[in-house]
Amino acid sequence: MSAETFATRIWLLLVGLTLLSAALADGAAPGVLTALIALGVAGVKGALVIRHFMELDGRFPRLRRLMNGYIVLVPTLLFVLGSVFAQ
Amino acid sequence: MQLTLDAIPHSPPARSPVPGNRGIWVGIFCELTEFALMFLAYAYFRLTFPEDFHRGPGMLNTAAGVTNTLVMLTSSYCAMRAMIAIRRNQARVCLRWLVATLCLGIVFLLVKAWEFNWNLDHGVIGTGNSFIAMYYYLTLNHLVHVVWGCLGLIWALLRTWGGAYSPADHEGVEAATLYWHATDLAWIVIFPLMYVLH
Repeated sequence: MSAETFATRIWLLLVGLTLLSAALADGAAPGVLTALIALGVAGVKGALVIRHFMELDGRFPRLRRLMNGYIVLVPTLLFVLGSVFAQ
Repeated sequence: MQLTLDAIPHSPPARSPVPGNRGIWVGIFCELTEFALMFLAYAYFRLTFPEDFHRGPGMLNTAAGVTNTLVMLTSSYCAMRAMIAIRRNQARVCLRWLVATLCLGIVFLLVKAWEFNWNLDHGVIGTGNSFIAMYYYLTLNHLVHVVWGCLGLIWALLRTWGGAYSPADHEGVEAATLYWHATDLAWIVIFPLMYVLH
C-alpha cells in the first residue's frame, strides 16, 4: 500500500470516528455512556494523528510516550472528573 | 588552566533527534500545556455548575462544530500529503497540498466567524452561563493557534515555492505541519467537550 493510500485510509477513519461522536450530540444516550464513547473516540483520534500524521513512531520514543500520555490522560481525567465525580 | 579544542561542544548531529526542530516542539508543548490547564478549568466549572454544562451544548450550533472538526481533520490530512510529496522530491505537489491545508485553515476561521455570528443572533453570549464562557475561552484560544498555524504554513509555502526544500532537508515544512497537527489535536479534545457531552 502506498503512503498516500494509507494516509487517505487514516483520514477516512478519522472522519468516521468524528461522525460517530457527532451522532451522540442529540443527548439521546445516557450522559455517562455518551462521555465514555465521545472521550474514548477523542483519545483514539488523537492517537491516530500522533502516530500517523505527526509520525511519532519508534524513532522518537520519548516524544511518542509524552504525546500518547497526553492524549490518554486528558480524556481520562475529563471523564473521571466530569462523569464519575459528578455522580 | 589551558583551554583545548576538546572543551568546545560538538556540533549537533545532522539529523535532529526530534521531527521538525526543537523550537517547534517547545511551541507544541506550550500549546498543549495551555490547553491542559483550560481542560482542568472546564472540569472544575463542570463540577461546580452542572446545570449550565447540561444545557450548554444544546445552545450551540452542532453542525458548525462538526463541520469545523471535519475541516480540521482534512487539513491535517493535506499537511501529511505535503510531507509525503516533499519526501518524494515533488516540490510542486507539496506546494499544492500546503495551499490546500492553508485554504482549509481559512475555511475553519470563516466557519468559526459564522458560528460566532449565529451565536450572537441566538443570544449565546459569554455572560451568565459558565459553559458558554468556557466555550468562548477555549474556542477563541484555539482560534489564535489556528492563526499562528496559518502563518507558519504561509512561511513553509513561500519557502517551498522558492525551492528551499528537498527530500534530504525539509525541516521547515515538517515543523509547520507538526504545529498544525498539534492544533488539530487540541480541537479533537475540544469538540466533544463543547458539542457532544451533556
